[in-house]
Amino acid sequence: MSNENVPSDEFPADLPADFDFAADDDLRALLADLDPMAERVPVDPVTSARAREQVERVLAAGADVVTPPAARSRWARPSSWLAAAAAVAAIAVGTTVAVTAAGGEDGRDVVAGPTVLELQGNPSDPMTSMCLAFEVQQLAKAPVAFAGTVTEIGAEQVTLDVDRWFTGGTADVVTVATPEGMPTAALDGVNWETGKRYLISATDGMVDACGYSGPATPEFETQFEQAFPTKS
Amino acid sequence: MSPVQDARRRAEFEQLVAQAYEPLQRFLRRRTDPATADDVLGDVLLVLWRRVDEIPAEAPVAWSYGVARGCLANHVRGSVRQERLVERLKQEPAGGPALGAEHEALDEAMAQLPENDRELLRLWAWEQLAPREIATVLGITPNAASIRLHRAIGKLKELMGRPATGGAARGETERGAGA
Repeated sequence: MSNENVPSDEFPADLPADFDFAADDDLRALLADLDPMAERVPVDPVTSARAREQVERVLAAGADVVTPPAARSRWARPSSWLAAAAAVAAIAVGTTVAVTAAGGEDGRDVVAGPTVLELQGNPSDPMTSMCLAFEVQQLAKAPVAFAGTVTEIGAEQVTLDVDRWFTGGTADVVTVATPEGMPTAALDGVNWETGKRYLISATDGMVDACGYSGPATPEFETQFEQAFPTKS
Repeated sequence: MSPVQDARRRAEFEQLVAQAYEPLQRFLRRRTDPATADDVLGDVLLVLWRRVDEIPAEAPVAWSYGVARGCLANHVRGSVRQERLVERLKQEPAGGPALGAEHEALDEAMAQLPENDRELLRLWAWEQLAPREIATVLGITPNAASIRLHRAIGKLKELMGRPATGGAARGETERGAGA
């Protein structure tokens, strides 16, 4: 498999793939002297309590260990996604706003309880799905986007108290259905956590994964603001 | 996922961490400030766990460097940290032997190279990787890694006023062998 798909200008010289550059060992050693992290500089050993703690955190289903939003990307909707989507298609019928309390016909409730938006969790398995690169322009296409704090995690749904709508709704509360059989890690391997604030975008009634929804950070919120500039 | 699969994945992850945890810290701190390196290490571990089924039997540590590269790039992208990164790379080596004129010339020459070339040279001299492993880190063919490293070394020598060594002639018949 030599030089496939590589522009010809990558090969001004002929070298075997395992050329060892032994003739340049002195230069390599000289360069190594400039290494700021040479072996003599201590780092945390893998046997340290800190290392153990980090590993345990990751193994605990990735909870609380969050990659920056920009590090994530959108699911490319592979076949596994389609299969999983079929399983929930019966329920995922688009963005539905269900008013739980009786409201006036003009939409202004008198003694209204909170309005509730029902969404589906994304059934993509973060372990196997492919993502495309995150782009604010792509985020801007989401018909639904908001920020909210998880108030309750039930067996089949997560409830969020919305504090900010970017687009697509006015509901005070959003529930995200996480039916049995769906990956517990509904957000790119990040678990829902009560009391934690999330930025969520959704399309066709389904939460967008792949970096388009996740725990709120100032950077992530800025991206939401860029995607959904306030009309004023 | 069955408990058996789960245990297997976990064992593979732990094995990789045992090999890569310390090298990854060095890798990151060669390329960014300690605070960012610390943040990114957590991201890297998470990605390694997610991608545990992709760990190559050959050069797993080099592969984890590739993951770390991606995480670091995402972390510093578009942020003020980029400047800190640049600053960091200009720093003096820590606690090493006193540097002579030759080191200074080398340091200056490095500073004049494009970042891509510098990264190849770091992977070669600091991470002590062979071209095949460098290829794993950068996601390019081993052949391309050899060629690019050769060119980067050539440029470095030129900037230092050293004569080029005749590496190109040695492997002409083996081009692409085993790539």
